[in-house]
Amino acid sequence: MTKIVNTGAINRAAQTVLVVEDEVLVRMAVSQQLRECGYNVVEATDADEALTVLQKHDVILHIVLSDVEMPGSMDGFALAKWIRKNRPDLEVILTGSVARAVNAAMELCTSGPVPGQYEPHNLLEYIRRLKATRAARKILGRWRELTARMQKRR
Amino acid sequence: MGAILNAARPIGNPQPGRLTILVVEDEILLRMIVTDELRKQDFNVAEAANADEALSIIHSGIPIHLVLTDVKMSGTQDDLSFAGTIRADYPDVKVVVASGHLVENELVEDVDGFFRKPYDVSNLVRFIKALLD
Repeated sequence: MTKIVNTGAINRAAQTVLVVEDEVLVRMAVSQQLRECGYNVVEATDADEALTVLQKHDVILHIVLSDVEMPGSMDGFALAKWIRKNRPDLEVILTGSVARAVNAAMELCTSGPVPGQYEPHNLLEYIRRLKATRAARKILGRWRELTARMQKRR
Repeated sequence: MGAILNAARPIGNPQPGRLTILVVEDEILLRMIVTDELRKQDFNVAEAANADEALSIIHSGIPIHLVLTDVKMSGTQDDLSFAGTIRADYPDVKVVVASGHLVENELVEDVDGFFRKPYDVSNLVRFIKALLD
């Protein structure tokens, strides 16, 4: 189990994080965690949505936390390249997996407005539970559909 | 001084008394403004860019009290059938529809509220607060 200890080195009070992630349950959980840590969060489902926000200069952003593989016109690497060229003021964190996204969020929390010690394990477990419930309900939904169809045929 | 263990409160387990609103909107700038206003009013807010994402959130078991949905969205699920799915499968969940394409009498689903786009966000938030009161 990894514990990330607050170094207290960076003051991130009232900073805004743009979370770019196409898996909605991961995006939701990570964003909520960051809000609980005191960050403002903007959620984008892909790089195209992120670019819409990044090009609005009246939206104040500080950090971009982005997945690497995403549908849409560009992936995380291309988005990071665009940001370095056009918004060099922003810090970019690329994450290639759920575990990395969770760890990155925890590191931000650790050095964030509500510093302390955070457990990546809890957030990972929470995401796993959300996904498992979704999968179970999908199966249940399909079973209900099939049952309804069979009853119609009788 | 010992380290503080901050257990983040997950979105599915909001503070007692806080109601959860699912905002389904494919225009990110509008979604950002609406969700921000709702959070300022102390609502727990989940965001989805389309009906597929919204169903993912609903199926993940998070208790949702109200769905605010646009009816001209991308995704595989037809927008109005999404509102219908919520109505049929989750009859206790309130549904408020916003649209720049439909007028209220074109809605086939029985909904709790309708807002024509562009709408005044403060009016919408006031309406939602009253609906959940």
